[in-house]
Amino acid sequence: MGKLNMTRRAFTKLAAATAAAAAVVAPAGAALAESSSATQSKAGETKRVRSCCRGCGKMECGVWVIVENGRAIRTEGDESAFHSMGNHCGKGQASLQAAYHPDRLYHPMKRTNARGEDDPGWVRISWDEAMSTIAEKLQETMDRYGGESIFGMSGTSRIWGMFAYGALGQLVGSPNMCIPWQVCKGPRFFATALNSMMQASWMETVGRPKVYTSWGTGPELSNYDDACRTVVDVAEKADTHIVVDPRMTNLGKEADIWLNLRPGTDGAMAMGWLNVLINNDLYDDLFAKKWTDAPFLVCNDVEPSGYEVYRFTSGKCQMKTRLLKESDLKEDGDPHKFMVWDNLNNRMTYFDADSGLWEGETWSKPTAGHEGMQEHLVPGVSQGWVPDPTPFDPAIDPALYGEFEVELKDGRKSKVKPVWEYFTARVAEYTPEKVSEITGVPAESIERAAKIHATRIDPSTGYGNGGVQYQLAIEHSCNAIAMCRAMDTYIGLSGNWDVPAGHRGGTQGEFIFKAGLGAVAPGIPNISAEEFNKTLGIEDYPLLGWWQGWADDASVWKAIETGDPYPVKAGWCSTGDFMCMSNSLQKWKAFPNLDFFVCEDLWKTPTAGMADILLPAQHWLETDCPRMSQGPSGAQGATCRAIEPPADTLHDIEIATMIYKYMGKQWGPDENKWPDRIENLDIMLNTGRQGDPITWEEYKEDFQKNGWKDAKVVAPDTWGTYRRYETGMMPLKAYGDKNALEEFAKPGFGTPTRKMEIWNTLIETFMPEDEEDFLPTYKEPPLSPISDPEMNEKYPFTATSGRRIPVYFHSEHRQLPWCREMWPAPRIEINPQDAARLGIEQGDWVWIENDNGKIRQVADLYHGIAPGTVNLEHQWWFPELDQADKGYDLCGCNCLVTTGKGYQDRISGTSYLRAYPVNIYKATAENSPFGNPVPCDHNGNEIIHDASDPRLKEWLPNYDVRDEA
Amino acid sequence: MTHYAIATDLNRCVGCLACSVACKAMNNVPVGDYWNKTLRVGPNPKADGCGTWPDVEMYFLTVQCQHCKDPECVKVCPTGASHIADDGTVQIDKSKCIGCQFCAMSCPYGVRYLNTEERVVEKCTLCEQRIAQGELPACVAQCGGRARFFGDLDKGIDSFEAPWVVDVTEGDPSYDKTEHTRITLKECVQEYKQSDVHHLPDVGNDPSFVYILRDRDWQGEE
Repeated sequence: MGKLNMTRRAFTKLAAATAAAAAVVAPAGAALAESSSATQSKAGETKRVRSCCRGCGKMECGVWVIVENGRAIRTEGDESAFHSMGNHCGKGQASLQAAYHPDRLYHPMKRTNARGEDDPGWVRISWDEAMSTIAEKLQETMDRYGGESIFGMSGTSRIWGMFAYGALGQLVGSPNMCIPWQVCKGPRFFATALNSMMQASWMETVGRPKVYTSWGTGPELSNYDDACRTVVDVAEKADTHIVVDPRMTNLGKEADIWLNLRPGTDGAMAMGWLNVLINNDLYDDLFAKKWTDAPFLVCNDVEPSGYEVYRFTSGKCQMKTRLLKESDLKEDGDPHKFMVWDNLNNRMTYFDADSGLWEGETWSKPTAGHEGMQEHLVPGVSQGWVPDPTPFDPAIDPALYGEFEVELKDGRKSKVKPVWEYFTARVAEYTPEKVSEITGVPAESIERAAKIHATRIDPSTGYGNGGVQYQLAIEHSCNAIAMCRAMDTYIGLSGNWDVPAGHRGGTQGEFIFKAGLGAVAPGIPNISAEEFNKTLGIEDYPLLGWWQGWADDASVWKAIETGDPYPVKAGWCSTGDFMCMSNSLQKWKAFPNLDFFVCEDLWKTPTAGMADILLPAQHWLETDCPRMSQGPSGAQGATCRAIEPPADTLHDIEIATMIYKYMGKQWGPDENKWPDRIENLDIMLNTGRQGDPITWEEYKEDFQKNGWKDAKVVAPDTWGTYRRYETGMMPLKAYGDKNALEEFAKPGFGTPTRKMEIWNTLIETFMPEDEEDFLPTYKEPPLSPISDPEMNEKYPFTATSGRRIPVYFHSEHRQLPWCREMWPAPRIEINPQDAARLGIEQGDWVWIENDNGKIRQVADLYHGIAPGTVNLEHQWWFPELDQADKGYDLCGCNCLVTTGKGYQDRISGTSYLRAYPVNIYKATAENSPFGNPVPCDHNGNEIIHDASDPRLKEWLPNYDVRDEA
Repeated sequence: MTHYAIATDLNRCVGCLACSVACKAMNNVPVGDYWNKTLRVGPNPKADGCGTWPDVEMYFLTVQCQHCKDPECVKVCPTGASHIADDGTVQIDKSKCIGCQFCAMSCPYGVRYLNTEERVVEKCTLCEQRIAQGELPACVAQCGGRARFFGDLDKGIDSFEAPWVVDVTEGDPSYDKTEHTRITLKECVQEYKQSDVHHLPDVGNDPSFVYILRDRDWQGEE
């Protein structure tokens, strides 16, 4: 039986015509079934396409696209998508309006007026003209200045906007990719790659932790790695729900414990949790001894040395560590053999990082273990298999405490201590009382929360209560890598690393998803370590030369502005924007120094306003792409084309392959150098494939019929098994090895020592002068009231930002009526006491300023934020303004950001986006341009700030524009 | 007799606006009108706290036509356009509506809107086109926190339903199956006491919608 699918208006008409009120109340009854076919035949074919949303770039929510007569009329959550539980948020539902938006880009365009003018003078051009021009300009730039003078920008998506994550660099030979990864997730990945395994920051929320801890995040609004519906259910069913956040969050209103810390002090809190864990003997002793470098011995009397280790992306480097190795003790000693003191046998023994084995150990894949023992798993999520922790065999007891005398190979005696001694001494500084002083949270709350988290509710499971969902807020106050290392170490020591509901990285399924479609040209190697060594920012942030994941954004923009240390003259932006990090005003000023800039997008964004050529991208309803949970949600599925793409629009993968072809560079493998979009998907599906080869068409058909797959079932060894450091199935190539399915198994982690590196050999190697960071630590934000009292006297409010807005994803969706009418203007949250003192009332426009700039946002009097702290919104721009800059400078808080060495994370260069000082005061006719407190364009026309604004109606779907385009 | 309504567990509601957008998407509600709006209540200082931050509490409140049992809007309608349908819901017969807006003025909750193009008053219909077919109102189906449940008040709110996760391992996770796999309020939400059950302020109209709020002060008088 075909189901009715009437619109409300059609239904009203039908109900009136038949006056069949009695029939109408029958549930899916026969009375209406007859009308059903009539309605449908009149309305034409209705199809329901199973797909995966991309209303945000954060979560792979399963959805249905309802298509009538070739038009998508609605999208709904797919209740069989176990990882998202059928969630489909406001952003996702509204993103339909983007596909049919009258302002969307439908053709390639070129600028005819000078950069910097309000009207770029866009003129429609062909793809051939666009590509020929781009190829010519990029080649000219490469010939004159070298490939490194071309920089890239990207968005965050997985299915589009990924070109500058790597493939652009491969094309032109440039390491200078400015990608939002540097401020979001990237620091967590960077830190965990240093500490244990890249992406270990990701916690398996769908595994249902007994204690749910949400730290500096808001997945209930952003679906950040987990769907709203999942986190609400998880938080409610957990025994205890802990929130760490400076402000009361939407889900945090339900928390059992709220650690309401001062913005930017998360690192101190993390050290405090380690303190409680260790002081109360709640840590996993065997894990510390067997799987971390805690028993390795620090020797201050040797020259740092080591062996060749892999850089993260390309090439190798020489490790230099003072951890004691056999080669420090004997002339012909092996530098891979890390010495430990064995308390059981009262002798030195070693761990061999080359073989992954302890002295005398023979290893085979463990077989003892049990199913996961998680409660409340939703249907479709399986338990997985948890190997039992293996004991030392032969039996040893590596010392964590003590001091030992050794004779070095040159005959000198040296006193050495285990890493654990140094680590616990550092952690001992962060007593709950001390952390209370720093964070402002009562010591007893800190202790209570950490104890509840770390004390196993059900010891019979053999693992902890679940992970800590620590997310991006902690990355934005210049202590990102240290904080994430502290957390990753806490997770390991508290028994929550790669266990059910613990931390286990990105989902591994039947194929390797890598960074996302179009991020890497699959047929050619990445750029060389030598080319990566030209990365801008590498002098200030030397570990970027190991990580090779991004260039420092602020350094690239400084080079654009000044030509120092070398010129950057051309750029490509792949559905990204310049407002996401560093200082927006500085970047806008530097933009005209570029000789050439190309932008692909759906819209004329502020970034597009500086482009020479615009390329029209496709909407997710129009694209095909396999999908895999980015995080540990364990789902494998797809985004499937539901409607035909309009006019000249192309999917990113087609644009990427095309520019490669125009520049004569190979994209795909030798036998198919420039694959079409479907062939590109075939390549992706068969990369690192477990099982028989498959075509996209087969994959898609299976997905339509059978829905999402549980990665634990389809990839039992690489995903269905926990504690993969025991089984040799660590999935990432951080150490240069492949996992056992591809090559051979070695137990351990992906770090140079194969241990969780509490003492970090890579930081030691690349930043030898920064001893404090060899171990997890905390440093105050550089402009906090404690670090810079003078600045805080001038600007007495601490600004935080980046709170999630239910209807926006960063810079996206401001032109969608269903979003903008819900949240028309940016809001500054102010404690009512502060507001009263400053004469600010709910709904007033407020000036927010510091030395870097000034912006306006609307006052929201919010008792959920501390007096003296304000919360700002980021990346606002105004599509309604008819000028190239789209008002990026009117309201976006990243106009207030300070950049430069000392004002970015000292290891990753991550931008200082939260916990900086500002002043605020009421905007009035007297102190505002055009005598109007409401922000205006260059001619005095107001932005949309009210849902009654008639311009919103002009943005409703326009099918004619699409058809005519 | 049937009396359809929605019960919302406000401890599970996180103000994600998915229901508000879903209503727009399902019912083509004009821009600037909100048949289903999400209000933030607070944060307010807790009664037993220090009087200010951080001793504060907050909840979100979804507000739409409450499909009252004794609705003022029906009483004031001069043409009989506003009426109580056989399923207990309050509906507007647009062919009879003259757009006088007496109903909008009489509604205690401000949830009726004049459609300026059609010159008729509109509001939440509880997605009558869907519930008549055994489907759920869009705001219930798409609720982000799985906080909203739909059912017949005469059968008690514990029997109210929302969609639930279809087990893909059983095979055939079709659209129809995903539409009809349900969980009841009782199965889904935490226990609640009778004193946790609230209605929007009643000025004699006897609102049907039910709100569950535990562990904090309900800010609307009974």
